[in-house]
Amino acid sequence: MGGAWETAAWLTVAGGALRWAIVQNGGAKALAAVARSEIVTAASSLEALREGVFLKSLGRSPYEGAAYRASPVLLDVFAPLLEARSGAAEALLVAVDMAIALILVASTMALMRPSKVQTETSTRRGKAAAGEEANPIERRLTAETEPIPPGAKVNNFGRTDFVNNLAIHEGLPLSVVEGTDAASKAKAGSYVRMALLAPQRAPVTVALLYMFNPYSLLACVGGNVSSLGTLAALFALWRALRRDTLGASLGIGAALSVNPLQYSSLLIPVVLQLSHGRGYKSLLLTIAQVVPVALLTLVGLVRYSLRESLPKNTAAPKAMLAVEESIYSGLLREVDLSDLSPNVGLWWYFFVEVFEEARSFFKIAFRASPLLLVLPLSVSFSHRPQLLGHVLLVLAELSKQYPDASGIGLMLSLFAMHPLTVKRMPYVLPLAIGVLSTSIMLPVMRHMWLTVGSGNANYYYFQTLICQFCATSLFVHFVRATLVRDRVLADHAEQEDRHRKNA
Amino acid sequence: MRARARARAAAGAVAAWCVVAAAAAAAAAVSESFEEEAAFRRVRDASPRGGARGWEDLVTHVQFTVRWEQASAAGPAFAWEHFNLFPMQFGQTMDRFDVEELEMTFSKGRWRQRWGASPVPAAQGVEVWALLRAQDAPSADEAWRALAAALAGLSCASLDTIVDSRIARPRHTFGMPPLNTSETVTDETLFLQYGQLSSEASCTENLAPLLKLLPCRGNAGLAQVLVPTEIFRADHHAIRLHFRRVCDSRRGWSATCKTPGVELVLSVVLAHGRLAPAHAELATLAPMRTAVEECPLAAASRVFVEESFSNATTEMTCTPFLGPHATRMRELALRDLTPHDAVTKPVIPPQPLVRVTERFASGVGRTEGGVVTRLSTSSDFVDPIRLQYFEMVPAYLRVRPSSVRLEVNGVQVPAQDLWGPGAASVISLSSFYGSPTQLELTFDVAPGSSVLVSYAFEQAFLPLWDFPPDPNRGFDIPAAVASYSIPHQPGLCVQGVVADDLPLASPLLGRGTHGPVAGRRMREYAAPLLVSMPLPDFSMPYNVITLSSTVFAYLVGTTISILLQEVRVRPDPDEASQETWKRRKRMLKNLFFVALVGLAWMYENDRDTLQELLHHVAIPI
Repeated sequence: MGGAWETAAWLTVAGGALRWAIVQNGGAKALAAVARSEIVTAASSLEALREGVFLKSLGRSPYEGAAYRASPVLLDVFAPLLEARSGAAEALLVAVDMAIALILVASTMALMRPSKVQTETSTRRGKAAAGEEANPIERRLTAETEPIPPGAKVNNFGRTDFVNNLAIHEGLPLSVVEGTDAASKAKAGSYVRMALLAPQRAPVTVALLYMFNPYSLLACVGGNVSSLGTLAALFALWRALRRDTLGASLGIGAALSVNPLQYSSLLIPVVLQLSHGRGYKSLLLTIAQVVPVALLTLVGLVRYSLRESLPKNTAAPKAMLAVEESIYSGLLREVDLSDLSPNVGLWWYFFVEVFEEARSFFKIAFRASPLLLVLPLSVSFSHRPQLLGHVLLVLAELSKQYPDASGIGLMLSLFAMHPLTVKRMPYVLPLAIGVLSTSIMLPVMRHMWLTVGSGNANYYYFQTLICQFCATSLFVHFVRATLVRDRVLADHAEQEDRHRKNA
Repeated sequence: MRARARARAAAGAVAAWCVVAAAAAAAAAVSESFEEEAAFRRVRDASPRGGARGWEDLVTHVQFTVRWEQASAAGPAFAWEHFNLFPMQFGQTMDRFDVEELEMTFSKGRWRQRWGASPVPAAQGVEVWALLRAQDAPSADEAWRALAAALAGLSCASLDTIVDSRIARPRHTFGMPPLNTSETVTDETLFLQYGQLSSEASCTENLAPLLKLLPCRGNAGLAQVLVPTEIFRADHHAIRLHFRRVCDSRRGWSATCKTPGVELVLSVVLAHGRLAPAHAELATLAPMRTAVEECPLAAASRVFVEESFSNATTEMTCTPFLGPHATRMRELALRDLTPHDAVTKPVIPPQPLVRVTERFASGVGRTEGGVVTRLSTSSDFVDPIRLQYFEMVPAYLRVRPSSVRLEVNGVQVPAQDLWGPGAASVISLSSFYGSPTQLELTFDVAPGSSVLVSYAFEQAFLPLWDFPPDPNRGFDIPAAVASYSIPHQPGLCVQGVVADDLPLASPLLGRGTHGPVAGRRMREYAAPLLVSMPLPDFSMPYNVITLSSTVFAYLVGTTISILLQEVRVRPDPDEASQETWKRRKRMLKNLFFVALVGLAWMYENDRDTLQELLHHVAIPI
């Protein structure tokens, strides 16, 4: 374990050094010139932030005009850096990326370890097992320990707790754990898969993937400030895993202050995760602990960043109104979909082409339909809060209106934290090639359309279509593979149970 | 000849009617007047090529003024009743929308710098601005929209397309300074609305309805000079309709007004470039020689022609201020075009103090670009003048705030002076699809300075339905305007030198339409520009809607169905392969059966084809 941590840390440092080297050598500008609209959108670019800071420093509203439309908190974070010296903001972005990698590594290692809580709860539940109601997997887990006391719940949804998703499979046959057998392992091409997806090497893989995948790398170098929100969200998930209620609540509050639309669904996995470890205290209690702290953090951060523009000596409700107004002045613009500049997503061209009278209907439909998924996903993966958190993060990236390269990079890294699930996913290679090849073609097609004039908008649109289809497929297959994996584990446990009874 | 006689008879009838009307008006202490004048000026081409060939340019200015004043005891309100000379449809429109001042200009072609300051400075296309009285901004907008529609009907121009994206509200550049400054400072019911349509082509159909506003229409008087073919063949033409309220014969409105009035001025400027000298001589009065009938309703009809190219500067008592191109003008009698007066008058046609030296759009591709405008000031004045640079950037070009740059003599003006709360300049940025970005930069420039204004923009990607029918033509960046007041300078002949007994005279003669030259507001236009916008595919809405929706439905639908269905686990690999083989066998069997049925059908119904088919596979039947 120590070795893996060290390697991952070195990889993180190396990735950070590479990013800094590219930034220092002016590579950022070159990259931005080639693929600006793919790497950053107006909602996430450092350039737009610079305009916001410019307006704010002159005593005007940063949201004036159409340039800046992200959170006022980001403005406050970057304003001193942008004014201090050139390179300071980029240095922060590199540091944020390194922090994300380290948090991902730490979370992965925590997922791998049979944690203390796991043992405790298993023990307690073991007391209650006593042969009857408990789930077969539960029984397999607690077979060697004492029975669960009567009346104790398995968890809030009556299902087994898979907090530790990697360590749980020790001693199970390979066909159950990975869905493969020795024969298929020998197949050509699976070597890379084996090396990348070996569960014991997961932290190194995650660090490697996050720091060296071209998407995250280019996003960081190209000045994509959305990584701050990602950092806060992943921090919250990680602190929840470590049973740190305060840290998790602060993290989720910070994430919400950066982008409330994108991260609000993360409250569910954080609450589930926190309610898991502590002898199954009630969900309501956890919600009562997390939500107020998160909201206070959100309001506090936004109010602090707007301290100059808020009217002084006014009553609290009026000040709250100002806060809301400022949030919405940035946010509603994002919701409004007024900016139809091309990016890797599907929204922009859809709303360029869609009929005037149907526009508002599709706005609602596109925005609401991903929300439909949140509840079923939460129920299905309530026993895997971390995985749920990752799935919701990826879903938010896939369904947001101004997506960019950083989303794809994040998706790859988050999926790598669940190597056993990824091993069960079909068509990973073709889909990954689909994403990669369209990513290369996107800037080419944009150049042909907008600079040279030898192509038209459809050239670009079809690349985004295939890119989004492949990314969506990866997500769908991941969800499916997780369900299949749970099912196989349950079937196996049942089988074992039968064997034991027969014996 | 007969036609002429008939025109005379008609004019006589009009005159008789006018006498009756005037008698009625006199009772109500109403004074109405109509005056017209024309000035012809020849400008020598100073370029080596043009000079060698003796080329001349001919600049013509024809101006009609209708004025209507009422000495009212009731107060300063003007009563819109008993239209005699003033055009009724126009007057009622102005009354309906509470217009204080209005200017509508049609123009085409470039005004050359060698012609001096244009009597009618104009932007390419159509430009309209109005000073409206309204309760608040929204009702002013509403009135403006209705007024634009009314003017569109009046002038046969597509002014009703001056929608939100082309309306601006400059604060300093347009409109005359009020009579009493303190009145306007507190007056929050006055709204200046401004719009420009660069791509509107002015044509005969725009001029004809404007000429119909005149008391003699186009039938008599100097309006006959305005032959449409001549106007629209000219290198440059500008047609301006200017309406304003006057108070005690001065412009503007005042609470203490004794005789409120209204004034309508129609000005037409033509410039024919590079004419051979003999041709210029002929062209000067060509339309007048044929059939110019006196308009009996006109209080005055004046025609001025340039007598010679003699330099009149030496005869003047004061130092020429507005440039060295002094000349002599002779007044002619309209009836027979003979000299009206033995004396010729030295005049100084005004030269602009500020010139636009350069204006261009920069950038590669269709996503971003910039606009650079360079101005220079002449060295003909002493104290620095206050310059206002106004530009309206439509919302489809998103100006980057930090890129707005103003340089005076190579020194950049700090951003605080442009954007700051107390700055004299007014910059308001457009949001996505609303009113345009407005730059109204106010700064002082010394004589002989150079000024650079530049900004960068990103081009918006517009929805399919927001594109005009000809999107590949490019989108307009409206003309920019630099405006300034002519400074008061002691010792200089700023009043012009035309005798003061002329109540109105063309600016070609060194006189302003609106009072003395000093303090007069001058405007200089920089050309409008075109940018290529990024275009979507206009034929694809259905394809895009279906394809994109499919991917969305795939994300949501598949995930939900996966989550709601019972999970089926793949069986063992061995079992799976057996299962597959069985399925394939079944499928082959079915296919074979179908093929057999097909062959049987063909045997019964289409034996020829079957034979041919079997011949190919060499099975004789």
